[in-house]
Amino acid sequence: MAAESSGGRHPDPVTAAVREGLTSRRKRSLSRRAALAEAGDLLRQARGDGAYKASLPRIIELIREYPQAEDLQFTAARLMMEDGDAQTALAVWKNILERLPSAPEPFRMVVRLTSRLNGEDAAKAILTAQFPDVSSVSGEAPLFALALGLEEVGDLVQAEDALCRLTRLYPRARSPWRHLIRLQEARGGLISAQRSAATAMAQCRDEEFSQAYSRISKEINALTSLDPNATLDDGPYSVKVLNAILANVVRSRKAKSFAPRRHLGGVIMITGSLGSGGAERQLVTTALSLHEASQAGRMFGSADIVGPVAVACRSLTAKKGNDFFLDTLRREGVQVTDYSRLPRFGGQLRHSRVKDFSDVVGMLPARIREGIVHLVDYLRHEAPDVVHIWQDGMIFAAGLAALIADVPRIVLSVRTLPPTDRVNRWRLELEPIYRALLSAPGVVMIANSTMAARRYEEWLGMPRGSAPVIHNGVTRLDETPSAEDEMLWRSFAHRTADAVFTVGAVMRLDENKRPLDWLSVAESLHRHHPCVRFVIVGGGALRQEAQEYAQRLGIADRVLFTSVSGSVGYWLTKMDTLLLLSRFEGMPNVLIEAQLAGKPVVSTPAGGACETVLNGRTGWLTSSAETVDVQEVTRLLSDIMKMPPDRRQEIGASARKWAEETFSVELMLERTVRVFMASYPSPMIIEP
Amino acid sequence: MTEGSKGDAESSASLGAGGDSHANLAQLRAENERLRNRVIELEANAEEAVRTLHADLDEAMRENADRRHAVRALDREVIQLRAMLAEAERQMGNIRQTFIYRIGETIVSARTLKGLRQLPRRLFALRRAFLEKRGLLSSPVHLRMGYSDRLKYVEEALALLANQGVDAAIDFVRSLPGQDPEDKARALLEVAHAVWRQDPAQAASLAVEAGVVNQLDPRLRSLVLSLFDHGEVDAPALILSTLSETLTVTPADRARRETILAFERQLAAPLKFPAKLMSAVGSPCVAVVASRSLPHHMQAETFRAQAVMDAAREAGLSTFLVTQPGYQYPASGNGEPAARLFNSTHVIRMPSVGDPPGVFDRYVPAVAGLLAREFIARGVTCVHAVGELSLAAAACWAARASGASFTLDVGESPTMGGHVDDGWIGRERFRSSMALFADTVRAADQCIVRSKAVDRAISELGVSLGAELIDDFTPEQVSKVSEIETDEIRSQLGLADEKIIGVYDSLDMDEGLSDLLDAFPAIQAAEPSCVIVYIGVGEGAESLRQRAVTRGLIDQVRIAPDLARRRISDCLNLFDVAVFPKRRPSPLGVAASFELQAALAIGAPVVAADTAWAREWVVDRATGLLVDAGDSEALAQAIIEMLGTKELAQAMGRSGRDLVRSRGGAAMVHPAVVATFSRRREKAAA
Repeated sequence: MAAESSGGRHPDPVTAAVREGLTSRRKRSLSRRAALAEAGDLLRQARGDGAYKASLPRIIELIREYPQAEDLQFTAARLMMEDGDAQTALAVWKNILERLPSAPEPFRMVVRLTSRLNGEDAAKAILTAQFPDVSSVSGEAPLFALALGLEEVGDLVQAEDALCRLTRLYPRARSPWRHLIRLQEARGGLISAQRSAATAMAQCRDEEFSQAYSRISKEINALTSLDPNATLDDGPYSVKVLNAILANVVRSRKAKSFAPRRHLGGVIMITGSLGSGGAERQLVTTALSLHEASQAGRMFGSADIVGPVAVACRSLTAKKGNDFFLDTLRREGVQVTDYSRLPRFGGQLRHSRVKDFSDVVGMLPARIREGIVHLVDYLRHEAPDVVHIWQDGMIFAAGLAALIADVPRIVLSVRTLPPTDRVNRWRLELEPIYRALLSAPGVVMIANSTMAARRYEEWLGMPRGSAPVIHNGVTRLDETPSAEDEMLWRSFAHRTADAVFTVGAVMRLDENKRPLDWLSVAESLHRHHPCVRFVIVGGGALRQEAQEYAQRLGIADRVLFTSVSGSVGYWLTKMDTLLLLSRFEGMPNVLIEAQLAGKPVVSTPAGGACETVLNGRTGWLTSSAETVDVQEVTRLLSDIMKMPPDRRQEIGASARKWAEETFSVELMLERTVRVFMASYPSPMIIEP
Repeated sequence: MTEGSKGDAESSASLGAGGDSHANLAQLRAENERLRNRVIELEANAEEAVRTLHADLDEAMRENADRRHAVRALDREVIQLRAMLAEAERQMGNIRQTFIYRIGETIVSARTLKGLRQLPRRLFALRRAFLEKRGLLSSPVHLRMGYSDRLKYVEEALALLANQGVDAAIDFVRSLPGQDPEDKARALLEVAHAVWRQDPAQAASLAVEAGVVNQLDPRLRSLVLSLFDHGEVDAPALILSTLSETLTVTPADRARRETILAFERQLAAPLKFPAKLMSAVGSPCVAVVASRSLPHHMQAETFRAQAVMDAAREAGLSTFLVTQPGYQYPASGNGEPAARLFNSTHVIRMPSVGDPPGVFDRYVPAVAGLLAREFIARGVTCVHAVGELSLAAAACWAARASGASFTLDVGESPTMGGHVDDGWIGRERFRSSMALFADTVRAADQCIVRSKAVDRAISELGVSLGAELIDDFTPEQVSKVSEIETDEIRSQLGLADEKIIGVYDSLDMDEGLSDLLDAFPAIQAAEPSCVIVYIGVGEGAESLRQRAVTRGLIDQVRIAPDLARRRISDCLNLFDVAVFPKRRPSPLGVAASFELQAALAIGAPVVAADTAWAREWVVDRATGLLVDAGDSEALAQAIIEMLGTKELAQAMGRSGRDLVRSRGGAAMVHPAVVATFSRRREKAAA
């Protein structure tokens, strides 16, 4: 039977296998070395075909045979982590850390997954709890664990310091050297990395470090040859390489002229994955509509859509669920390409458009390198009129590739705050990439909210209003309930039969959405108006805490917590108003969906939320997104509640009309095609 | 002793003691017999119960055995699957081993010079074969060859083109060896793409050579459409007529192909309208032909059609509207015209005839056949066509066949393909469709034109309309205003109390649109809280927006193509000054001033660039202000004057409204339209 984590909610097959292996000595089918090799093979195979679940049972079997082989446990935990079940993976890694408290790797993974699930602050708290005084850490394993943990929370300077200390204290240990060199290379400190590789070579006498030394020396030579006048300091060389490539490509692009288009030919949409996210949904809607228009001969405005429309995805199998929309697209005949599997350099480097940069491509960050190596020749071959790159991760990975491939119109679609506002997304190379792309003719940045557009414009010093805003296209949700949801509502409605007003939320229960503040507002409203009830649709890390908090507030019987539901449209019909108290938002679709369902909304003015509501006419915005003023929100809800039913209906009708007119799929497509086809007199950034 | 015999003995004793002993004995015997039978019955029941229990037990045991068998079968299956998995792993190991061996062999073979030369190719082939064996290559065969390899000639050709010119590149691609035909074809196409604007014929010739090898290359399709969009007809038609399958992947592709070939046919042998055989007789009936139905579309064409129908009704004539398939009703009826009633308007929606309107040499006769049948059946005596050319030509054809008189109602100069760029007039595509327009004008019994400027523009294009000028009707709907809707539009634009300088027009590439941006700083100096709002759609919207950005005006400029869906009067009501700044230097794109008329109709203060088109309605300093086209300083001064002098603005607004009511009102327009019906009838009767 599978063991369970301390919380008792997530089964831990690894711990169960270790226990079983230790209690009943099993016959071993193969040597420990072969077992480790097989486990490694299984992990690689799963990464290749995405069949993680198929590989796990065999590794668990191997753990039963070798319960004390740490690496087998690590491999199983990695497999579960990459399968996408982060909660279970965290539980597994925590249990491994309990068994092997001095092992750095489990500590690192616990920090990583905590950061992913509960936020960076929670991850830092673990680090502080484990190492209250960083300067006093001195043992080899703890110091290494500290360095890895610091790297995970993004404190790279401290991480490098810790690794330097570690390599001074334990110069023969190879792993710290390996990490130190990698870290220095990643931050662009080529000279430091070369020095570290030389010392590691002398101390460890390992072939690995002499190879690293040769590689770094070769890169330094290539860098010198790329720009002989450059002073070779310890700055980020990847940025220097990028700048040199970009200057070259943008110069040659400016010398070319692209014929104005009267018809829209090939369109390739580039995305990281086809997972179930909001951006991917918009991408799929756009791709399918354009494809259908190209088949039927339907025009958008005066644009004849000829196609073909295709989607290129960075990886469909790297993570579970990456292929969520794959069948939808393929069923309709849209070609989908997993570009990480395309031949490198389009098959032959000597004929590739990349051959001029081949010496330095290796020095670029991995994502950009992958994009260039796999995409450039594919794009040249397909010769689309438009490449539409979705979200900043992919702009980073594929923007340069599209530029090198000479695609006439490159559309960069940003959907949230720029990477400067999101510390964990920041990369040194981001700014030069964005600046160079936008200084090239035919490259356009679009945003799905004015807020995002303005923030990118401020970051890149673009004139205000440069980036066109194309709001999301949202359709009214299906209101048919699942049997389970209908039953749940009936039972709740029976329990709260006295209620005359229902306040609802559709949200992920995490810190950003402030479910506890939401419940405080609910309690306050209930105190003033006992005949009110609340519905919270969604799951998340804070769900249990929120339920306990509702108990403490004494309103548990007035609040219905549904889990993640496929019948959001149904739940919206049961609400009289929707309340959202987010701290940060991109373009909250739920506010649009609620208005489409004819429900007035109350929201904090977080991010693009302001753009989804006509304040005072289709909904109400609170005064601040930074803090929640419970009294203010209660007053707003009370006001809605006190309105006569026909006034509420009138506001609901206005909300629906506004949402239909502003966020229709048709409008989104028309605006998108307009950007695809428009002739822009000058680049978006004019470099001096 | 058994229990029964003991009972008998006791019974015998008691009999001996009593008088009715025999009777008692018999009774006891009977009782004894009953009890015995009861015992037998119970024993039988017990046996039955035992039998049932045994049967149940057997059944349960059988089921248990079955389950055991099933479990054993599953176990066997699991074992077999495990064995298969082990076998697959072993085979995979073998594959790896084989490939390692083959790699080793390849490396060994590189000892010789020839082997060394072949080494990279052989290693690549091995890698590909290995990936294929593992199922990691799922892309089509041609893609497995790699992209860069297939484009090897393209890079060389483009380098030659850049360094040594077109001829060198063309010589190079033509001299390429034939062993890689598809690669050569792609190189030919890329060079064709590089030269098509300078030399369409050369591009077509290269494309034909390429198409012989690979007709379905999307680059070939792209080239054909680029040529056609640029106004070429012969060159794309040459490619299409040589290559039968190009542009025929989807129905839309087929329609594009047929359209291009129709333009070519029109160039070589223009469509001939049938001779008019007879005149229709009977009570007058007017068929109005327009591309869109009423009253859903706030467009000049639909109002014009409505006005004609209203005029006919007022004169006591029966009338109906004929439209083509719309996107809401793409397939009306069952291959037959469908009759509908929208409010009080009878509408006949034509069915799709297979060919799109662009394939006019097939579309016109096919639609005309259906129309003629309708006209004869409904006793149509006058046909009045507004709007789209192919439909108007079909109506003309049908009128001639059915004996009805035909009036062509011209509201704008024909652009034939929606282009207004330089050189468009001289291009084949324009010439081809202009020939159809000229033929329709010739075949029409009479033409009316809605603007003198349009009449002059068409004359400049070489076609004499000989038309009567009838002003456009300004219906009540256009001057109706809803303050609530206007407030909502203001709110959508994020505006509070700012003064609004508005433009309601198509946002094309007319330079006049950005004259207003140039004028804005001066206006803002005089009126700090003012903004510009552009409402309209067109290919120039994005570049106009970017111009506002580069001038640092984006916060003061709103470009709202989406508001063009709202009612025109509510949009115009938003404006403190309605500006019509277009320069309109070319005869193309000149249209009757529906938007200007609408602005005047709601009493908006109007400032317009002084063009022949604007002068038709704006009398300087009476109904609005006129400024020299392209003079942004004068434009700024006029707007400042209008914004700053409320009385002047109101007075001009009133005058404008009066002018529109007097000239564009039903009292003026309807009789003029009715006169066209009777004139033709009188002529026919004579």
